[in-house]
Amino acid sequence: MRADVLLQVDDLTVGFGAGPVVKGVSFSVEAGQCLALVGESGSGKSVTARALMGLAGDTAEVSAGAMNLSGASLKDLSPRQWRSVRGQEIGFVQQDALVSLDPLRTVGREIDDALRLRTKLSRSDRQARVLKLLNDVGMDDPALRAGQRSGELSGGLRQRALIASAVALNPALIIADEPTTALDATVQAQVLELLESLRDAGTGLLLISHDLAVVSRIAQHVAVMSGGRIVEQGPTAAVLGDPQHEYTKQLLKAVPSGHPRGTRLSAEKLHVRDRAVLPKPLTRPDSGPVLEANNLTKTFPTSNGLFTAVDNVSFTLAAGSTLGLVGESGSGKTTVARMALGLTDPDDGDVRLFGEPWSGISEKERRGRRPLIGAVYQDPLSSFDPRMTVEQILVDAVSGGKTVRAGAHRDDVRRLLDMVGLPGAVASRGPRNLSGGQRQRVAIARALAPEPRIVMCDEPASSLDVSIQAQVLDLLDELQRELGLSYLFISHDLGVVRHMSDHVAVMQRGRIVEQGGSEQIFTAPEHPYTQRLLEASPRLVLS
Amino acid sequence: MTRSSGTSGRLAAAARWFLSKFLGAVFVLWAVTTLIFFGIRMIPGDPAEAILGGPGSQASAAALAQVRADYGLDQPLVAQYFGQLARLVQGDLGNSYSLRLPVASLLGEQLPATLTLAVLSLILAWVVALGLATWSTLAGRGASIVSSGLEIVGAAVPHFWLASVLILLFSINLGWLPPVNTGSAEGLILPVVTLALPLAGFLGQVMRESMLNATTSPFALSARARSETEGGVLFRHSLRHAAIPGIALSGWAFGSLISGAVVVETIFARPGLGRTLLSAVTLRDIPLVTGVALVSALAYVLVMALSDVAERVADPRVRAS
Repeated sequence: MRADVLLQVDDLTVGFGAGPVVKGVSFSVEAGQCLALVGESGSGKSVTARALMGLAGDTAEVSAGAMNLSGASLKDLSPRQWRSVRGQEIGFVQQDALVSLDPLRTVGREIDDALRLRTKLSRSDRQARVLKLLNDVGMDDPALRAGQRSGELSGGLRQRALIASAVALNPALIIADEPTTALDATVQAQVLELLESLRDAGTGLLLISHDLAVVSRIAQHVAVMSGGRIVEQGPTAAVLGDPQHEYTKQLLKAVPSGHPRGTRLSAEKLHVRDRAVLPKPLTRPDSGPVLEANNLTKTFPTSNGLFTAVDNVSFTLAAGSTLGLVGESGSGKTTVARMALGLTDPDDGDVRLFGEPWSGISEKERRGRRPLIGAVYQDPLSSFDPRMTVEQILVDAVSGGKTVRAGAHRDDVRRLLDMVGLPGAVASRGPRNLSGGQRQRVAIARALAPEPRIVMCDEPASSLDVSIQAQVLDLLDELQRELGLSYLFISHDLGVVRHMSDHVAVMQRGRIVEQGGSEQIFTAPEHPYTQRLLEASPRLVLS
Repeated sequence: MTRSSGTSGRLAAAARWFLSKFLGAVFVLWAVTTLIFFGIRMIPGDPAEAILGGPGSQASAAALAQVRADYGLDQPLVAQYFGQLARLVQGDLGNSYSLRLPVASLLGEQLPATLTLAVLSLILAWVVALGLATWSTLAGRGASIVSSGLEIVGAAVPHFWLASVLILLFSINLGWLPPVNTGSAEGLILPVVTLALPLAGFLGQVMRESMLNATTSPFALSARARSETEGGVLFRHSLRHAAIPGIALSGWAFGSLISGAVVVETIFARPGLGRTLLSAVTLRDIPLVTGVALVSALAYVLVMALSDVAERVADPRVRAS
């Protein structure tokens, strides 16, 4: 064991009654270095991290050959000994500080807790330390921020506050569990910079992530986990640059950025579709622009006056193509999508669908043409009625919500499920009993049921693991070619947008700051904001 | 953003909030008056007869006519209605038909007893509900199942049955507590317990759920990871999360306590609004019924406003929105 090894784990196994979920993993973290544990949900990464802090839960059975932190063993500690490790020796940063900091307490008090529990500092000394910590993690106006709660802070600020609470006692090791997931690209870059600066200051960093781009940027070593085992580990450049294990290769292939449009991301088709039940090809494919937005403007009243969510936005969606709409949260993407779907009327400007007016008309005039546009959202679970089975969901979509006799449309349901590569047995299940990828496929099938010509995809793969995301993106791509669909594709993930889109429009604060061909935008961006976005977007960089 | 504009903004918001509550209260009081006025006339029988001591009093036709003229009962219904509204607006609740006393002073005598009963019951219900929630959070799954069962039984038990069982057990078998009101503090125990337990069952279900959610939430994990004890997680984090739905329900709960007081005050022979209401309805004493209903409605509106304020204090997210 080398002198600068901070954390040494040998043969760690964690089980919860029904068999182990972490099966004999071994790894080490050195001071001033970052080890990334990479894998998909359910691979055992988070359980591993929690076991290192004694927080795997009362029902967990943890055993290990060795588990040493700074030379001291972490095995068989009493609750009191564990508490002296937590916060002081190991700092813990979770995903999404909105729920990882108590929403009812100010971030100042949350940070102060660590100091209050483990130091003998006076209240005023602690107060000063809290402000210094907030300042150190790059918060403007620490005194103001200390008095705010996680809900009052932006995603980046509250993640910084969470990091401040984790480093309050100067721990030797920081465990960061998906610390930048759900953050916008530029914010993600800032948080990663903060973690990097901590690492460079000599703190060991155990990063848990499913995002290989993030990992390639910050980690010196990578351990790839699958099914509770570490299948491959080593220096980042070696593992990601020349993967040996099949699973690592698959993970790398699934990353959309860097894979040109039209290439497959997922390893192979999960389910071979029956060509006979595919819908007939269109007799007359669409031509010309299918959806046009001209000078759209939309404002919303707030307590501080009018807020302009969308400001003079124009774009054209050409038949059979994909228009990617990129921007960070709050940039107005979703409002644009709602206007395109005819759910919100613009204050100014107009939307035209197949050349006919689509905005500023009555719902009655829209209704007949509603089947022309379908929609797929980020979180299908919340867009399904949990009491309906998949079959009911699809029948409802096919029949346009009319009551039909039981068993009607059975063929349609089978055809739709087949189209999205799901076995017919899925029909009788409820949305809760499906995996994330299956659910999103059902959502796509539902969107396709009324035989739309345009599908609005709002972050359709953002909440999915990278290999599942790859399958969903591949499916959308195939369906587009087979059915001649046009997509309005909304995402904050530049890699995904680049992979999916023919044309791209970049939104910032309600405006489209740049639009053009996908390759041109991504290789030669002209607007400084686009350049900044691309700069911040994590890429798989192998040095 | 300057601080002064923030303060005046808050004042304006507070004024708007107060005005909306006030108008809401006026509407509720008007609606209660109207419903009582027309509702009570649907009960068969002659109000004039009730004034003269009920159907058994054998009042003469002349006496009845005299009473009708005196009390304005010979006028059209609509005129009577607006007459009553006009008197109420001036703060005149009228005289009780049966007791021949001003309704306002009767209510003044009876209100404190009922308020004491309701407030003590609410406090006891909170203590029991939080106790069950805390116990099932700290003591694990078994405790959770036991509390959940207790809560369901508690929430399902009717007041009159619970009162009878408590009297049988503690007054008749054990002889510890008086079965009826004695004017002492001891006499309050059984009525308060009777009112509190069903409410505790109801509040407990809600609080236990949110407390368990809080202790398993990511922020509780963060707290443990910065070396917080289980007790610290409970008292600094979970308790507040559990209290918020309880506070939101307490305004409603207070209303149910006042209606529960009708049964409990009658069984334990306690003075109070509930018993007054029961006898007033039986005797068709319209002014008294109206008075009790108005006071209860007013109390309800005030407590709802209080719970609204308390919720804003406890939950910064409500304040922000």
